[in-house]
Amino acid sequence: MVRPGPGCAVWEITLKCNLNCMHCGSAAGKARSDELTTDEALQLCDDLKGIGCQGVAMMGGEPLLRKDWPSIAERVREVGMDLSIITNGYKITESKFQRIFDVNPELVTVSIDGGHAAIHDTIRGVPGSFKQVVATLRRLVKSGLPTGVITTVHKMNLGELPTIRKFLLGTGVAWQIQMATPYGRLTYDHVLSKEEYYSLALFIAATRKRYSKKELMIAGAHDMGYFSRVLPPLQVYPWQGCQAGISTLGIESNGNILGCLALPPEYVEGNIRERPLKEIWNDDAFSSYTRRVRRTDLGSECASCTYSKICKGGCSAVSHSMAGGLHRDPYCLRLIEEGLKKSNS
Amino acid sequence: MSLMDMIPVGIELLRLSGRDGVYAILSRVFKAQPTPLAYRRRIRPLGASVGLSEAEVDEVISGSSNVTVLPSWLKWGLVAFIVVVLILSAIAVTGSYVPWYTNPTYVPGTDYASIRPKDFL
Repeated sequence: MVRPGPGCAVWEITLKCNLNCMHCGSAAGKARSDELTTDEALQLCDDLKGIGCQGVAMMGGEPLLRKDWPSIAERVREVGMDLSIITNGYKITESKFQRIFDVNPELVTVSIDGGHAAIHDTIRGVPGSFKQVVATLRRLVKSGLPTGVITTVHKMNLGELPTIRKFLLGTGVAWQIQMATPYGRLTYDHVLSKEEYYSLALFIAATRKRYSKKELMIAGAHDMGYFSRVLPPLQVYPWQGCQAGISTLGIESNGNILGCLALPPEYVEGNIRERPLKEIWNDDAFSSYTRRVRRTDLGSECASCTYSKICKGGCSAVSHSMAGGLHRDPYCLRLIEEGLKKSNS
Repeated sequence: MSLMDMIPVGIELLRLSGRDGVYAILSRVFKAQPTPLAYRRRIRPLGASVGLSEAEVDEVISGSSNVTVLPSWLKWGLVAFIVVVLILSAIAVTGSYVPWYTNPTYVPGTDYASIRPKDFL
């Protein structure tokens, strides 16, 4: 059976990174020893187009550290896919900026994790990184390229959000907020509690209410939600269950394929060196945990929820890491609200 | 699941099908629930931890206030009542027919690593 292609393939083109972020889910630093060659990467662009993929989000590690990134980016554009680049914004030279402008991506996203240098630099593990990312952001905004900012929230930077908001107001960037999950370098003690997570949701909702889209575009990522009884939707698109292996696809720098890059290694379901991408994607068994969800797969609280058929148990990455299994995401606004009401009565 | 449980599911399906305007009206009218003062008091400190004032928290969790500003055609009259009942029934029936075994629909946009300014338009 031929399936519709993913809307977005999230592709770690290298694991090499010049920062050392405490929340990095892939514990990036050194390049993998077996990363795809330039020829393999270019072929993969063609293969992604071949399965009907509409866009590629190029990330790392730090994607701009891979020497042939412009060739990969150009091929993505040549075959007619959207391109976005997710960079840490650190040490972007003028020649790299020019390469980015030449490639003309649909989006360039930088990561800002603190409103103050001390916090951002501590989280990112390198002094001076805040100053550089701010300069990068300003340069991108000035260029007129569509620009985004990702903030990954955990205990250390929850309180930084108002300062970051102040900084981003009126810049025209899209601000994506996501919760850090305990993969890679992030330890459990830094993960938000459910109440802190609810605070984060309140912040997004209040900001959306207070500011127009012209002033600030803000949205929760795939792990922010769902189906709150009192809060308005936090995401840009309505949540309709984890899209790993359905409308998104994860690619590791050595050609490993999984439904979503946020998931841990045990979810790798093939490698393009061993099997063509088309075969992996169209395999009935691929990502069956999202493609064929039954009520019996859901945790008990999710199974009894009104929205179970749409939600299917929330974000797989959060569910796996915080509940030990899929389809039982405990970071669910609706569930947390029920808990708050009980503790209230 | 009861018929009443199907109503919110049906409302969500309206949003998924891109009928945002209808979704906004119906969700204000039928999904919103009064937020008790005690509950608001519990939530306010959570907002304070991210720099939100009590007023900002109240504003964002008080979707219920919109119940008092129903459109006049909906607020008054037997005919409007019947229309609402018919709408609810249709939505509930739709909600009850969401299948588990779908070939998942391809989603053109995605929240995965690619939220762009134009996604907000």
